[in-house]
Amino acid sequence: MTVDTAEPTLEENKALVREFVERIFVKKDLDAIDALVTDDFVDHVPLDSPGGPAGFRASMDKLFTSFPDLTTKIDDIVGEGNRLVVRVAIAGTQRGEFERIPPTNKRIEVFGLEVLEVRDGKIAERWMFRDEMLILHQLGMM
Amino acid sequence: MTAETDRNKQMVQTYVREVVNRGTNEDGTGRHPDNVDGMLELFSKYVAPDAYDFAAPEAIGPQGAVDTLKVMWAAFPNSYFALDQLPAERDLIMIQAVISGTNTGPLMGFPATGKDLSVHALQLFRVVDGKLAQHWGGISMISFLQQMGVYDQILAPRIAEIYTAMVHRYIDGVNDDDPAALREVFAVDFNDHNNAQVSGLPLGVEGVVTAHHMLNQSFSDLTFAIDEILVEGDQVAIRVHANGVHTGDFYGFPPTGKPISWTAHRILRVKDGMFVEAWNEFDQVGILQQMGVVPSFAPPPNLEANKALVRRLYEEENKHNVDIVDELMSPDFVMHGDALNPYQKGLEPIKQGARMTQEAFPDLVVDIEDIVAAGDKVMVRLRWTGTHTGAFMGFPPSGKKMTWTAIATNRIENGKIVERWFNSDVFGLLQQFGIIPAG
Repeated sequence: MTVDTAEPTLEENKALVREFVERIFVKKDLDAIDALVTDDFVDHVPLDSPGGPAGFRASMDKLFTSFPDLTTKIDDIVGEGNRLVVRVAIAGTQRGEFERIPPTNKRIEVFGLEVLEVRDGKIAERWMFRDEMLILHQLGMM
Repeated sequence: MTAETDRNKQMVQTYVREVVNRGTNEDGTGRHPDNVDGMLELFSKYVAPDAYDFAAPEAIGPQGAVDTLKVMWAAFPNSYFALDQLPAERDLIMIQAVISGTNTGPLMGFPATGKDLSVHALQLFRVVDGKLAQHWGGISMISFLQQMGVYDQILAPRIAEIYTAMVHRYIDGVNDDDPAALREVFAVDFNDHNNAQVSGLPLGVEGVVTAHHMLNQSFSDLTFAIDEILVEGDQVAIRVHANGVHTGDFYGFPPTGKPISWTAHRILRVKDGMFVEAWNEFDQVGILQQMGVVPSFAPPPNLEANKALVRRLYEEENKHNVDIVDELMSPDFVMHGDALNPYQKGLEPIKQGARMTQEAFPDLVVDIEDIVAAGDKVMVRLRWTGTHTGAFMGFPPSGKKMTWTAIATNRIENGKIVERWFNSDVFGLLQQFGIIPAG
């Protein structure tokens, strides 16, 4: 097995992932998406998520329309090789439709997990968990 | 990878294979028997006694893990955790998996659907002293509920509440002449398909604001009341009625000072939490009729014919022609009665009552002492007189001559009596029977 010295270190990947979450989720700078994700970016969750930078931008735009005051706080970043896990705390008020739920003006406060695969110095794949059971409770749906 | 990371990863892999997947291979071979008794012991090998799940309010321990998985196994006996990746760093181990299974048992109060489901699961564990101590994550719950086909079912009643509250906000806004309330629930580009009814209205929500402002100028003390709200999907159907006094111009008709009421129906469509379009029908001609500016289309009531009908009924009763009710009264007749003639529907109880009374008082005669008619109603004051020679209301024959009075309102529709309100002097009758002391 040869060691490719060009392969980024775990710390470099963590820095990239931190920048990704901070610019897109925290600062909501959707123009940064093109520079941060690969052209063949795949968003795995939910299954019908649109792909590519444009699809991801549309998903994020939808999320911020549902929760215009959404805040994301990074609790932890861990990982192995090119696959990183970000533990986040998210909070916001539902002012727009979300998952077929009309605006409730109720506040959600849940934790989430972002799993990101780094390739060629960009984010190539994304898996996401958010505590949707708790969200449905907090929005008064269950 | 450090030795610690490697060890923790191995443990989580074993936990998923031996516990979560119960030793099952992906092809379903090698499945453990479901040994409920030994399960807690098995879980305790992997789950710390004070293990914490961040979706739960307090430590769940091995028993909590058992309970969670038992619920899943009951609903999805063939559930399988297909491990995708296990990125790990020291004490934090991530399980990325796709869970699939067939829903053959009830779950969350919903019956088994028989559906094959497949959802992503992301679970982050912290390992302490070789055991799972903390847990974040789970499955994509909304996707799961959607695949179960129950998501819309769960939301529907809650969405109906939200839309109902919007209707109340709308009607309150109309009653308070509060444009801000209307702008809260009607979209800026709201499309009123009946805008053509009033010329010169602005488009969008401002059209709603202007239309109701104009109505409030035509009618003082105008109040809308909600009679019905039906919600299905994105459609909200409402029925309302309005009351006001005509103190301003309405469609060019000058104020009449008359109290006016009308009914209306509206079907609204909601998008993104706002009313985006609506169709409307309201009783405009009824309003103009009440103002006296257009003639009524209903034929004027024939008061003499109505009185003749009621007179004939009692004349035939004096001939003991009980079956006359079939000719003069509607089969859907409703009696809003009293102690002597309680609430009844249909004609059979009327006939039975007449026969019983005539058997008890064979010489019974009823006289009309007054008759008053207006609109579709005829009110009659009646007096019955007869000799009590048969059992009546449980009283044995007394041979006494008795008399009692009543006043009845009859409503006539299409030449038949359809409804009657009735009060009779039951008190006086009971006095004559000696049940209640006289005077």
